Amino acid sequence: MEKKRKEGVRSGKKKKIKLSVNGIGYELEIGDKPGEVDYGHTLAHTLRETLNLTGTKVACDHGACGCCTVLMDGKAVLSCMTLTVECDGKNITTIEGLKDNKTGALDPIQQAFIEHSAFQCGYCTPGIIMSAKALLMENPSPSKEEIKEALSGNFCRCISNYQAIDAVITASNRGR
Amino acid sequence: MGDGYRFVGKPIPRNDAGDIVTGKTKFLIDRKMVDMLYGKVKRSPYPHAIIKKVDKKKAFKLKGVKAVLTWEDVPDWKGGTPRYTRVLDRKVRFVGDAVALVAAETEEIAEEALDLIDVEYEILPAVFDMEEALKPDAPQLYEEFPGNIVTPGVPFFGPKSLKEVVMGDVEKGFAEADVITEGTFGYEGIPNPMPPEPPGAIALWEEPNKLTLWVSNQSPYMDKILLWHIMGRKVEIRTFGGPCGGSYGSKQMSWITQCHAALLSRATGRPVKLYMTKEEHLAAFVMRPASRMKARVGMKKDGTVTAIKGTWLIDTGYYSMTTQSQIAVGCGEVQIAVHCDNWDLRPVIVCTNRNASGIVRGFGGQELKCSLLPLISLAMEKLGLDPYEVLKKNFVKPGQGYFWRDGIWYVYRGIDYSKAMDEGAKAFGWKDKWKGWLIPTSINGTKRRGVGVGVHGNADIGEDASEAHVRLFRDGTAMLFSCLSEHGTGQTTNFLKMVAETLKLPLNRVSLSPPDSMVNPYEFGPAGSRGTYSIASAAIRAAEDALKRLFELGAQKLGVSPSDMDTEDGMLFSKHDPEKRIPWIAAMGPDRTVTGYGRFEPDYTLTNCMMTFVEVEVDVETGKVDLISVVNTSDAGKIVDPKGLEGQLNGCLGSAGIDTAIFEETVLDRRTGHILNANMIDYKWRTFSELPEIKNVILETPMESHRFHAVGIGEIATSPGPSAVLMAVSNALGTWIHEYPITPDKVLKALGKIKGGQKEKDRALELGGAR
Amino acid sequence: MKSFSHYNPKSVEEAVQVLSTYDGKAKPNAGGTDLLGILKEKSLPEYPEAIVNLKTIEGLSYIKEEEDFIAIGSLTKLSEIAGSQMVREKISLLADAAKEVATPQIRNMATVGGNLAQDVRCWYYRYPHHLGGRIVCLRKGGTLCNALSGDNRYHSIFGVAPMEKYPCAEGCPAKTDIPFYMSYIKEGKIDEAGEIMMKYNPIPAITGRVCPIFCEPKCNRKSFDEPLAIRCVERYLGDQLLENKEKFYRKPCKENGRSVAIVGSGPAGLTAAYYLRKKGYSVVVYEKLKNAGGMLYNTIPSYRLPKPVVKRQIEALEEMGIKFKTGVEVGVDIRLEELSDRYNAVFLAAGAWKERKMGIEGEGFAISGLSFLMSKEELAGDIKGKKVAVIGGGNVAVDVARTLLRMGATPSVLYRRTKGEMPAFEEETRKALEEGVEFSFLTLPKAIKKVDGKLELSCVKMRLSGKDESGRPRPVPVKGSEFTMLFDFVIKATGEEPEWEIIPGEIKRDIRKEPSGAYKLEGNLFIGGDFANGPSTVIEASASGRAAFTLIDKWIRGDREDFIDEMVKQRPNTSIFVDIPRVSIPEIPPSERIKVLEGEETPDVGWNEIKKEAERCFNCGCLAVNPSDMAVALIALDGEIVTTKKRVRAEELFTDSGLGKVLLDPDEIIKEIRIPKPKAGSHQRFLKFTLRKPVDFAIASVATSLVIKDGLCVDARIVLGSLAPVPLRAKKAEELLIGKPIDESIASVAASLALSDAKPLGMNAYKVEIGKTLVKRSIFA
Repeated sequence: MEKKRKEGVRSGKKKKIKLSVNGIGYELEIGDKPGEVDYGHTLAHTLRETLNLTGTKVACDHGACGCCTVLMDGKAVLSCMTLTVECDGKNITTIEGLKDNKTGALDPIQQAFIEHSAFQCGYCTPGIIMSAKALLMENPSPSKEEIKEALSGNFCRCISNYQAIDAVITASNRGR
Repeated sequence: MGDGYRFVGKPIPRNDAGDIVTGKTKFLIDRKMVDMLYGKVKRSPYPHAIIKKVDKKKAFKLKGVKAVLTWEDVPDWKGGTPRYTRVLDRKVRFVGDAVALVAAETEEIAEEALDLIDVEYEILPAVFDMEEALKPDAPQLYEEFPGNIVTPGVPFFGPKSLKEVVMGDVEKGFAEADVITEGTFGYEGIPNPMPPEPPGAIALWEEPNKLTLWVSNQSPYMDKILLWHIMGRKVEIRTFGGPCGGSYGSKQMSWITQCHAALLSRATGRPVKLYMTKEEHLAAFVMRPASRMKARVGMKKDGTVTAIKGTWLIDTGYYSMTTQSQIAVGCGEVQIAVHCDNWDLRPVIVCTNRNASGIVRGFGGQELKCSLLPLISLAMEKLGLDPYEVLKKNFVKPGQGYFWRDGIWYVYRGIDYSKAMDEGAKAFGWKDKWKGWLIPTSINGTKRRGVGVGVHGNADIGEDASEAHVRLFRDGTAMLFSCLSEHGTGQTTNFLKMVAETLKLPLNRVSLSPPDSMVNPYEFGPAGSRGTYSIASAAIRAAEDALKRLFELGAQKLGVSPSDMDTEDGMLFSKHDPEKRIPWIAAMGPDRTVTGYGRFEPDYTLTNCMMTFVEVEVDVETGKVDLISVVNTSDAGKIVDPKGLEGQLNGCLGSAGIDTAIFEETVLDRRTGHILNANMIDYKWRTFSELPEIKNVILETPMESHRFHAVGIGEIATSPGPSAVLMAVSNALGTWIHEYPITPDKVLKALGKIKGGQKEKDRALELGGAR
Repeated sequence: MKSFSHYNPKSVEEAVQVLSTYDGKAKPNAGGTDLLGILKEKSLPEYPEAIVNLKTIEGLSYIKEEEDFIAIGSLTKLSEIAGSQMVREKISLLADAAKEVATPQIRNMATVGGNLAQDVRCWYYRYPHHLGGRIVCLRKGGTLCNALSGDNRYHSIFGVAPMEKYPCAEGCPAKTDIPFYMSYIKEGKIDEAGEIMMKYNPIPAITGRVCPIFCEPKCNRKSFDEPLAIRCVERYLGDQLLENKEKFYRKPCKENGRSVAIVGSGPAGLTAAYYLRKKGYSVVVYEKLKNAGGMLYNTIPSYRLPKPVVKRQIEALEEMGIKFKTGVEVGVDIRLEELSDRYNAVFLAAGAWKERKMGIEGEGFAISGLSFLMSKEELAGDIKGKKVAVIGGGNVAVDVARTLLRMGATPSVLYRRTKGEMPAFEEETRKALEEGVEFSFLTLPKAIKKVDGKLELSCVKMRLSGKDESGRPRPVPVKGSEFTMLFDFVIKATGEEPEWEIIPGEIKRDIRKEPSGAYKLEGNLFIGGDFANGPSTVIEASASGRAAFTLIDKWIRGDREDFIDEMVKQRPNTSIFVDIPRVSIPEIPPSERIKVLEGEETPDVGWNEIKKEAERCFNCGCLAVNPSDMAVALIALDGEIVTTKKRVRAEELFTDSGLGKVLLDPDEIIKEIRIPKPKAGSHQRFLKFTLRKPVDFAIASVATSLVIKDGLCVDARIVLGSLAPVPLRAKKAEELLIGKPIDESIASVAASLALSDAKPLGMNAYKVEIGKTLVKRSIFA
């Protein structure tokens, strides 16, 4: 039994994983040294601690609050409930990736959030914006109900929900 | 616009908006230091026990572990009011109390080490209910608090610190009453304000006694003051604030976590970051005090409250740091909301074996009002009075007064809020929707609607002192030196707006000093609703003082009198002869800065006001309560930041506000002391899917506050709502509900649909007096 | 998170292979939204060694339309199911259920297979380890379902997921299913309780009085307050059975034409006789003594076991047609060979009556304990006021001593070890001490001499040193501690053994000890009870009697059927917590007790007390509900689940999930779900009740699938979610609807029926009302 397990580990083990974050390719070593990805690391952990992309937030760390929302291959997912070692070959977009790096222009959603003051403490905002981004990519002209539905997995304790909905409406109108 | 302001009252984006929406904002949890270690806390499995023996050898042997500390290893730092709660104690008093601290190279190692610490306990009996705790044979939490009654009074509030509301002659008041009602209402859901960023700290200790702390709350300067006392007045403390991922008051009570980080840094000589998990945040950090009130109320036919006599029990959990303050402020606030000449309201603070209560938006007043307003409503119901009219009539009017937290009588010099209340009632449609007590507004199949109203006011808008410096630079820029962290209200931008308005500079030429307690003067912080009046007053005065000095310099250069000087956009000019103008640099020269100083002295003669109307819909088959609409109404004197204000007022739902009447509560297993719903799935919070309609009706009647005539009202948005919901649901159902939150079980019980229902009804009848 | 090994298998086979090598210590990850939570909470005592990522397996994410059914690959994301046009059109219920799960982000991650296999959300079960330590609830191998006495607002209103084995029943030598009969007593159903009892033990009136209660110390309730007073309830139940013997000790419906002789009418013989007779055997019991009942009647003192109780028990058995031949000693009055010839089988259960020799000088002066107990009436005149030594520390010794006391003598028990090692029941020793029996421990008699009409007992003091072969401390004489004592009588009760002499020499008696307590000798001879095993307790002997019955029956019938199948009943769910103290069984004060020789010393306890006591039974099981929305939908649609090991209807998979049994083996993976295409006229509805939308797990949900043809309901499936340990079909409601037109009033009646068997606990009664409302609205809205 022991022997079999060891073989299993060897065949299953990958030394490196490759993933793209905000268009930049990363090759991360798997291991327990600083800068490496441990099997127990979540994507949120890797983004924040290894890649220093702290715009992605962790609040509940249990998949309930949406603060850690990122886009994985275009879909809004929870980075706190995703193992980094299971992200090999994935395209990740975080809040840091929304701004156009060449022109410096903000994403229309970001712009609208500023105009509507669609945040108070701002901690949950990146997650809310990422959910909104996933929505508008799939449905550029959502109804108010569809916006509420798309943001329904995001927490905002300050209750900037109303202004956030208005901001998404503004952004979607601009996209038209 | 007629007011001539460039920034005040204008919808200008916050200074930090760009950073927030791009993820650039560095909250404390995002910060890293060179050489940083991570701290973790081992927590007690028992609600009450003595630590007999700790074996930390195995934990220490784990690679990467740098420190393991228990009560035996740490100095005698104590917090609480009075200071009886040791930072690490030999006795644990709730499930989750700190037993040992670990610092390690990574969080994972620190966490692993916790399991390697062997602790032997002597288990003691525990008590989880305040009335049980008051019984003679109850387990005792502290030798210093016999009978589990916490010493009342707040030294910081002075020798007469308000401990109760006692005045007039209640017996005479009852004799004058047309009806007397009696009852018990509880606000005991111990909800958690639950800011998204959990509490934490980064500490760096330098021998022998220097501590630098990076903190996350709205009052970084106050941490320095609080910790100085806790650490035996022997430690030189410097605090850094920064963007704070929500607080709602609560994170001002981070002292234990801050001390834990400091102790670990002291033991290792390296910076230590210690953050609570969300579970720890919900089960081992502070939450709202539990409140239970039994009282008699006398009322005349015209709605005059003639007497209030009762006992207010407050469960503070295993210690109290600010509960006495909350009671003092609550007792002050209640006189603002309910005018009555004869009071005998006696609070008793009880400690029990659960995690502690602390500061939460509403600060004592919300707790008190959630119990008292329903009690007063029983009298209104008996007299068939419209609660909106009664609450309006009894809210403090100019010339009336109240004992404030310092035990001193203040005469209210503010405005009459009746007009704002009328506007709110109109916007809500109160006159149409109000059908009388315990009568639904409408019935549609299994859905019944009901309306309710609540009120709250707080003289904290002028509480405590603030100091500020405004420094002018030769290039026509300025910096406000005030120890401020942005915690969501947008106030840091608002103060800059007011400074810019005063200095007549473009907003982007005014900046804020880093929130460093070493470079900034004393600042109590934007606690309560004090920011707009208190902090801004200091900032405006500092700006005016700086300008005065600058005008003196300019007047010399231009050869005019300083009183003839004015400035705009970094230019100085003569008011009589605007052609005479020079840039600041010409007045200041290349080697000078000009600094003005401003101070705000506490002023308790002004209060804010919030009246909240709610409409609910109850499904009588499932017992589900839905909040349909909310109207918040007030008068802010002058709105400084319209969008920010809207956000603050919409915040009435969250942070242990209105939703504490519907689904928010902390569930404590009252047999074992475990908090069961310490996660964000089982702890309920308002989501995007179920947003009621909110209207905020805010008038702008200039107030005698500061130059811009504004007062703050953000904090109190959460406070009137819960009792309004209780009233609305009771009206929808046709029977009184006595407890929060009104979850389906309580509704179905009240309707007699499930067991206990009839009993509950009888109790309501009995408590509600004859009907 | 604590680290683990990690695998990204490419195929199902590879995943299964890895999982099986870890033998339960690897967890599959089908989406992660449940699993990662459990890992972070460290709520389970065992942290997995490895995670096997199923998401890298290709070809398991699809939605396919086949001729009769729709097939969905197990790795299909919930958002894909919710968003599939085809699913929405054909099986809207499934799409609705998928849409109701958690949040948009989670639906983008979670798979249908993962959703079906997720763990329960009970907050005791999931209490995070870092908040003072995980809670080891019953589901995790602890002793209590914390929700039963704690906060159960979100828990089952249809009882518990039963344990696989109950500690009380496991403790009982007869394996009596105590929670089962207790749950009937809770409901006031004595007959049903009796039926369960009789399945394991047909003489509860007797064991309810003399059993040393193996069960009570195992009772899980003891970690809460005090164990259930099981014996007290058993005695009451036993008396009721005898009271209504025509009901419980009925003649068999059919004689099977076979016959069995039983030698000995003690507990083993009586028990075997009962079961054999019940199965249609003609049974004759041979008893050498004048009265049937063996030790029960003849040696156990009346104050413990009144003679009328034994008599009634024998009478009850007689009425079944069992014949008792008393005063017939096998081997003396009749040869064993003759029985062997005359009957199809002979069960030897003659007990252990032969007193062991002490091997000391003057042993002949001593009276044997058993004969004293049998003939005490004859000695009554002589013994009053006399000083009597009782040698031994077993039950016989204590019975003798306590009887002597009641006869007016002064007994003194001499035992060579200490109180702690006494084989007598602790309760008996306690009572003896209370009554004033003198005990001389560490005292070994060496000789008996007659001196001046008295008996002089020479003794030596002992000390305990090391252990003997039985594991008990070995008594060793203390040098120079010899002493003597004078007594009027000496009674020895130093152990008994079977009188195997009745077995003819040519039949080899096998000395192996069977765990069942009974086994077959040569020919048609069977052996059990104390006769086979040496002195034991009544319940052990009875259990051995039942084992003998099974052996004999199987042997005669040639293994054709198993009697256990006679009565498989649905266990009633009655896990309602009551915070009442253990029944206080009245005890007569010792000074009064010793005045009575014949009367029973423990008075009866009334029905109200008994029922209350039964209500204290935790009916141990897990109150958590299955959290899967998809399971509820799938069962309503009569879907199938295809795993790597089986293809099974969803309904069957979930009914299988008791506590300790999980849906899937550790190395089993769900591959596909199949949903039959709904018939024409299908009406589907999924309703989920939560405190708020979304995020929440259901407080209650209902999936209803009706087929309406020509205005009548021709098929109905109504499944309740989050109300029971597993999704529960509301069969009574379904039956009601079939053949009828659907309107509001029938929907209301169906709703009431659907919840009619609910047994809400302290805090979740509201779920009944919500459940009803959802059912009603799912049928007619």
